[in-house]
Amino acid sequence: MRAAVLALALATLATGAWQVSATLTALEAPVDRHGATFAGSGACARCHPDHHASWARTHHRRMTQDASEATVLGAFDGRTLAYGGYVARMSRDARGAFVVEVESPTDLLARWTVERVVGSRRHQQLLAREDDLWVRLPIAWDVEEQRFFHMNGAFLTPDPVELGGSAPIPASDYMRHAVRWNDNCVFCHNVGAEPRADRSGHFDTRVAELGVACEACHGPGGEHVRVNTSPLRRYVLHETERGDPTITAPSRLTPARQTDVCARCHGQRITSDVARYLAHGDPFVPGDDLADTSTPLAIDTSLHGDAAAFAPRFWRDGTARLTAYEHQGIRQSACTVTCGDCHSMHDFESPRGQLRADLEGDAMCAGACHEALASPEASLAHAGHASVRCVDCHMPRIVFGIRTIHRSHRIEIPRPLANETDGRPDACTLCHVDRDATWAARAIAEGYENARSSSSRVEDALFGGDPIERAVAAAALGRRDRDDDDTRRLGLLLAAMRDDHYPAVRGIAWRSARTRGLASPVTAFTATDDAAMRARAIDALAAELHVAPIAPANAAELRARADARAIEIGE
Amino acid sequence: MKPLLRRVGWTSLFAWACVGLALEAAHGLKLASYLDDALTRELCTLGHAHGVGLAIVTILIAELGLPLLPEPRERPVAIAIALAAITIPIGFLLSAFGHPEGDPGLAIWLVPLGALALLGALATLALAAWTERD
Repeated sequence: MRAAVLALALATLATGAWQVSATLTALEAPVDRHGATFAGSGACARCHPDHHASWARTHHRRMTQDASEATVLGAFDGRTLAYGGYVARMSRDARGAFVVEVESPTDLLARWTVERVVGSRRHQQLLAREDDLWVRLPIAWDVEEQRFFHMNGAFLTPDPVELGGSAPIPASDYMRHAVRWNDNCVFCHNVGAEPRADRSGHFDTRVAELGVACEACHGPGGEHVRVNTSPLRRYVLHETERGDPTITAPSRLTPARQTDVCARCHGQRITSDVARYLAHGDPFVPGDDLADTSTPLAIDTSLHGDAAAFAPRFWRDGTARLTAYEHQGIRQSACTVTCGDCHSMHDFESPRGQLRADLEGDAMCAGACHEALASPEASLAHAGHASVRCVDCHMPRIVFGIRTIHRSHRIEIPRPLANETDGRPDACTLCHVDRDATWAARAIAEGYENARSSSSRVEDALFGGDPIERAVAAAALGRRDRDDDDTRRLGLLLAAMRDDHYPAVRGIAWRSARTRGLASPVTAFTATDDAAMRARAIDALAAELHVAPIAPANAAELRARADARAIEIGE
Repeated sequence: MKPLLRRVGWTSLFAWACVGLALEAAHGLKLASYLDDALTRELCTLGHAHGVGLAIVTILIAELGLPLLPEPRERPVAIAIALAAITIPIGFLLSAFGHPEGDPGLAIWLVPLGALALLGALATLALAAWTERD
């Protein structure tokens, strides 16, 4: 009996040792996961509950969702949105489905049943199915303002010329931003997207999981889930802390490959193999070199022989001026950083920006590389300001996103005069909105007391810039970190709200006006209204504020030179 | 072997009752490191429940089980029961602390070892019960 027990114990030990050895060998073998199966975030949660829970707090998780009581943020209570001679009504049908109906004065332009929603932080866009296509509707919900808006007010296109006329605007203008989801938004807002477009133009689009879930950053995990049902394998991984070749852990990648994981979506790019993308989706698997399959868009990227095709998306010095170009900014930065140096998918305080919990605020810079500037005294001596943050000067807000202005991700030293030459805003005058670049340059070089300003860079941009310059200027006038003359700021903003031809610029100006202390309800102004309606709203606001719209003395000259082109965002 | 099992059983019952009190205190004092980690809570609860349960089983086997066995079988069965009564709850309890995400700590491997010993002992006792002469 004793011998039998001993023999059994020895056999068990020998088998265990062999299994451990075989597992260690298997962990050394590379695994090709291109075309591999996805497991879904539910499978990940079983072994990674903490990571699953932290990801579940992010807006990435809610990027695309099936429409339901729990996911639809908009008020589908029968409310209406009038624009361009059409009235959109958002309501529920008898089955409880979310319905958008658009009527012209004479007939029904469209009726959609909302089946999916996109976004949850700033805006929620609506998707409806039309045969084999998914269409992003021209109406969306503003989460902050708690009201619907027309997508023509979100992008950088001017008002239709017919707006405000006796007849409705052309239906094509109303539907200008009703875009196809299948081969567009689908790539970055979901996991494992496959448009499955055939030669006849039909789609059989599939995704492994709606939203930006685990496998968007970790790659397909079907094999990882399968092999790790073995407890022995899991404990070998736990105890040896080795990487598992069946999954990508971004933290184990080189800095360049780490950045590629985010850059896949946060760095607009172009591929030479469009057909492959449309048929089978993006071949990139986290850990790959992104450059193997695509090239980041740059100011001089050529499209069908047009070397200036993407130039409007960049300031003249090559700095991106649209969101989703953060990777380009990082590549141009003086700092050698990765996305993960400042942001985290699993360890953040707020889902807003997902900045790393351990490095909030200036610790991001001073705590990481710039230790000499960590003390308040050193920081004051460096910046000359007691209250500004590192990012205010080195990552100014000069990037247009939908209906808002974001920080540039090109981390750089402020150079007001060079920036002016390049036709882009500078960090100094975006805060000192009543000064010009010459003043800023002298203030940096010689101190504030020697500097004089004859004009305002921001005011010039608000009236004489191109649409993004005007939007950036409108946003700058709303910043609350300088308590200077509210009257002038509000007057300038009211003028932009009344007269700018771009509803996106007017919308940002309205947001700035409210930030500067305007107490009126958000519905007091609608950026997509026609000129007459806007004039009435501005008159009411001006009466309430005792502030008239203000334009600089050279406003006519500035407006004459204002660039009125539409800027394609690449929806 | 009866005294050995009695000692192990009663000592075990006392010890795991104390652990139960500690767990109640952790709830009462809202101890974050215990309450915030679902797996830690589950493993501590399993350790406590198995500890108390197996302590009672050990006492019962000392009083009612061992008399069923022929003398040469008493010693291995008693050792197996004692081993199980110690390793299973200890395995659960120790694996609750410093565990990797989603899995218990390495000490959890004590549990199947103890379970095998327990099953072997119980099988022996069951066989003895069937073969006992009336």
